[in-house]
Amino acid sequence: MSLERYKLFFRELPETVILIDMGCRIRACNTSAEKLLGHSEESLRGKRIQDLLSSPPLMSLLDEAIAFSRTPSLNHENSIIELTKGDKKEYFKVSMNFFGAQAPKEKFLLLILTDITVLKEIEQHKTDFFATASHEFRTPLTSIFMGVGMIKTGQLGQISPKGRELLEAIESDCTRLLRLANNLLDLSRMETGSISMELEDVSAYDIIDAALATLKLQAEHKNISLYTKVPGDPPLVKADVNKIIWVVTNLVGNALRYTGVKGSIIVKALRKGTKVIFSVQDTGKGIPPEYHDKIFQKFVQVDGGSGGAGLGLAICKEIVEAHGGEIWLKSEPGKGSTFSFSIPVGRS
Amino acid sequence: MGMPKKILLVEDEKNIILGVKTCLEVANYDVLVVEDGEEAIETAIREKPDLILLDLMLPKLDGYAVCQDLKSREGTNNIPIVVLTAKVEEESRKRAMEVGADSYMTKPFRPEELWQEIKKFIH
Ligand SMILES: Nc1ncnc2c1ncn2[C@@H]1O[C@H](COP(=O)(O)OP(=O)(O)O)[C@@H](O)[C@H]1O
Ligand SMILES: [Mg+2]
Repeated sequence: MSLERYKLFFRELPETVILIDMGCRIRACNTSAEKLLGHSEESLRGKRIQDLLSSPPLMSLLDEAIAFSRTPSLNHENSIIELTKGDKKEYFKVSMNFFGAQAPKEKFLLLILTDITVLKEIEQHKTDFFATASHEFRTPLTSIFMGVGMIKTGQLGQISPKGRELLEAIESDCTRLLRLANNLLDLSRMETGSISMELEDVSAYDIIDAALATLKLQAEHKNISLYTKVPGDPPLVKADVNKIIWVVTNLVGNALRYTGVKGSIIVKALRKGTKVIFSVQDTGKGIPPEYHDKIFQKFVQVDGGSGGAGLGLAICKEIVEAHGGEIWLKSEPGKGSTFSFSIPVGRS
Repeated sequence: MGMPKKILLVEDEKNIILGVKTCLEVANYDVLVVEDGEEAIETAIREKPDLILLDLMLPKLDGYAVCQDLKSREGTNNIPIVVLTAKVEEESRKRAMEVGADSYMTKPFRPEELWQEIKKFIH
């Protein structure tokens, strides 16, 4: 193919492609970039990219790339930038690559921006949909909860033992439905990042304490011993407290649900380098190895779970990853499971 | 026993009205029910209830507007308003508190929870 043809290809790529030198000046760009920046390639040549695109996150990525002469590691969090065009927000996925490596002088950075505004919009519709659905569930659930609750008081007439049993069943399934509606909403919000993170330095011990407070009674009922082990000075973590309490509560809640009577659950927090590792260990029924990779996906349950919807672990994963951490599992069927996650250590 | 306390329920969902009304009557409250925002204001002014249970999404005038109006009016500004709503978002709670709501309960709730909340304001 002729050089001309290659040039044409480059010019007409739907992605925005900009060639930058080590002084952050534009050396070449394609049609899509001309459109985004609002000038012709001719007049853009030699201009500094900072003066044309207003996106501090993108600039810090470029600075980092140029300072260290290598592409920064891009992930779901940092590779998506927001640009404002008039009063409309547009979203782009950033990728970059160095080329022409012989002498430093001839080194260039290829910056590629892919317009993902449409995807963002779809995500937003999805969140809106879940918000509406969750809202629409609440109204009928209110009259059911009130109705069942009122009949249960016995003040509207006597109830037979069978009748009471049925009422308890209805109430427990309504609770389940409500939990499902809440979980769907939380999950979609986490996925679209529309829940903001409020990070603070907080003691890992306090997090575990708060999570266990709501579960102690449940453990007693099932005759399960619940221990906390936070050796030495409790480490501080940098976390959105409510969300991490949610994660611990969910992991311990699962452990309680999938562990038989007289079992035990140990909740630990341990500092390891720049991370704090939380773990929840149970002596329950365990999880078969073929599930280990997919158990954190939405709706995945072993044997249909037990009264849940299979969303808890998916939300845990979203929350932990939003903290820049990881979540994993070790389990042997019949012996028990240990769910662990890491989040950054805080400053004391 | 003194006079039963009067509660104004502002709600437009028939089934919820049935449930909440039953719940309040069993606990010996006098219950008035209205189904839209304008009527809520008129009735509150006329009847001076001891407490108002207020839904937010209502025909004609929404719950925020009703709350703001009643709380800025001599004669009704001292009536406690408990918002009952399906809106779980933090912004909705904030807005309701800003316009003067005394408490904010998200739907669904159980009878005991409603009784408890009401007892915080009237004895
Ligand atoms: N501690 C545990 N022990 C055994 N199985 C577990 C444990 N925690 C989770 N699981 C399995 O993982 C599945 C997914 O968990 P989760 O996402 O929390 O959903 P749910 O508990 O609502 O079903 C559960 O249905 C269960 O089969
Ligand atoms: Mg669960």
